[in-house]
Amino acid sequence: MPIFDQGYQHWNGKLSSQLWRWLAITRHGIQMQLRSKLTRYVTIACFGPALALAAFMILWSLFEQGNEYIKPLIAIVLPKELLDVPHEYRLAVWTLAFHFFFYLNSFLLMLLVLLVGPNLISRDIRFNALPLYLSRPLSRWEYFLGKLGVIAAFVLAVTAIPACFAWLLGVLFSLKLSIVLEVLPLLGGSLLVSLMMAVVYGLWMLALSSLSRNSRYVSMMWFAWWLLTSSLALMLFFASGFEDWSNLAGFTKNIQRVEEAMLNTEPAWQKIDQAVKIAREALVAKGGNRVPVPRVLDRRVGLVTINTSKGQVVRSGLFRSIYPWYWSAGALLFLGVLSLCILTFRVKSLDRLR
Amino acid sequence: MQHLFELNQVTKTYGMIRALQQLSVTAPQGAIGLLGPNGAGKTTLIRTLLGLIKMDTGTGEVLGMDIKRKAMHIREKVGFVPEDECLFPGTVGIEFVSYAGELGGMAGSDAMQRAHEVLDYVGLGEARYRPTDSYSTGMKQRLKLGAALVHDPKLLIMDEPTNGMDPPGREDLIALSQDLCRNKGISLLYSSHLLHDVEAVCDYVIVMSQGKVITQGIIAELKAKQQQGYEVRVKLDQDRFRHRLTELGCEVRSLDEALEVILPEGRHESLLWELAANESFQIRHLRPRRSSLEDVFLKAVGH
Repeated sequence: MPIFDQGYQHWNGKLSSQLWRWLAITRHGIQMQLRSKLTRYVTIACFGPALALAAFMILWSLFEQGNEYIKPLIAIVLPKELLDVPHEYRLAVWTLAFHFFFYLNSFLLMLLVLLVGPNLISRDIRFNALPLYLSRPLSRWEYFLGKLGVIAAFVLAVTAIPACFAWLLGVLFSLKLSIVLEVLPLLGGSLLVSLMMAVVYGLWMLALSSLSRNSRYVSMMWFAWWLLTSSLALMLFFASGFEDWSNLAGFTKNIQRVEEAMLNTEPAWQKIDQAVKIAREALVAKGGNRVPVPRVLDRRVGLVTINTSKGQVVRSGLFRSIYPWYWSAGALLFLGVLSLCILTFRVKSLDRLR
Repeated sequence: MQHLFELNQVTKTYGMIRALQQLSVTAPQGAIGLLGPNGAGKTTLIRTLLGLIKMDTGTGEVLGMDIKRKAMHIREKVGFVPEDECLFPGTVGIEFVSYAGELGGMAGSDAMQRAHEVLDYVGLGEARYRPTDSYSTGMKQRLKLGAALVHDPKLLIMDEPTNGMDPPGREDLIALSQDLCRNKGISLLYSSHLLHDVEAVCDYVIVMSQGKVITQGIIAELKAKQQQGYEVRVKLDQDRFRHRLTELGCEVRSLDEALEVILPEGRHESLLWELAANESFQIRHLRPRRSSLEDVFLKAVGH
């Protein structure tokens, strides 16, 4: 056997800073995940909403400039009052466009994380790889951070990066750099939302991944968690008489509610409500009582009006919530703390007897 | 010269179990054997040296660095070959070693280049692109050794490295270990309960039992302490010969067909010849009984 053939050379290179060592785990994890064809395809599919957002931003910017091909298309869906002064509605429309982008992504990410996350820790436990990590200059928290980085990289790739790109497209196609200040909070909000999604999805998936040595069981747990919490939220919604707090039981609903708060969507909805109200008044003024006003113009857009014994009450709809955002933030915070507890309990340090 | 490591009054308990008890030990540079039966505290000692364990009491240094304050720096300078079968899943050999280097802080390109070198060195050059889960036990051990060497450590800690290996694989690993400490200037802490391995690799030994150091020292010196012993066989009247030796102050123990004789302090083997000549015993077999490390080990742990 050719042992010693090549001899042994000493190495005098420099080591990287302790601060960034966890990145090696992230880099390696991403490479491993991208080897799966299915993961690659789903990741590409997750760019669907991003393409739609980018296309919308271009269309809206062209519309604002009065492009004669775009205007008739937009006129189909928007009230005339909004068509006349589009720049006044710019921030509201952009905000809601980004909101729908993240709304769709909150579902797609469940699928992407389902593919990327289950084996991150479970395989290390199955192959007993933890001593290999922890006997190197890495702490357990850096190990978690590195693994979280893998999920975060995929989540940010399909949320933060497309959001930044779409925002930039919107600014560039508007041909007015002066709008940057107006729409800058939206960029900050989008980055915040992406980060929040990465952390929430990542921590919870890692926690589940640490619960089993078999990544298939982890996938099942993740899927069951999604299904059960969504179903529970729906059942509570009906059982409680359409109360808003029932949304707290839904995992994705909580993420969506915090996302709405971060993007500050409520003022945008109110602006649209205002346009709808103007449109309604214009309709009434034009036709008096002879022209029936469409039902949709009677309501606040995105909310649900329910007839109860006490009269009509307004509740959160699918895309618009009116209950306090910090309820959902609290629920997510609780889940985050629970995830960390599970991780520290399941991924033990080497300070123990075998 | 700087010590390899030094522990002072280190105690570590897990619930009711005292894994290390007021343990003080100083080890010189070179190849150090760590011997002890299961549960002696060897693995706890190794983890203490790597800064993976919070000591209840006591202090310690490895390569001149304080264990409590410089644990990460210590791990940068130390390579560790764990006992258990553990792998980074889903990797091929070269990725495994290069990933280990990156985790230690090496740049990706450096780690990859170095991984090729160490895989050649440990004899896995041909298998570098094979998935690690298809490796044999011996190959996995050498792979772990490669991963521990990738950042060129000053101290290499090997925890039961030859466990479960076939004899040729074991010999290869011992040869590698010898080469590392004798020719490459890497100090070694070689933990094992296989005494032959420790004797083959190490110059210095620390023997542990129940969380304490029972004995430590240069192996040659520890063996020399027992060199007053002889194995003697005489024709016919062996019982009388034994009786006479005891009268002369020798310590005598029966072996299968012979006697193990330990001469009193200051006496020489001529004592045996004189006795035989004077009292007409025929000595048919006389051999200095060189103590193996096993004698020291068994004596130290009370067997």
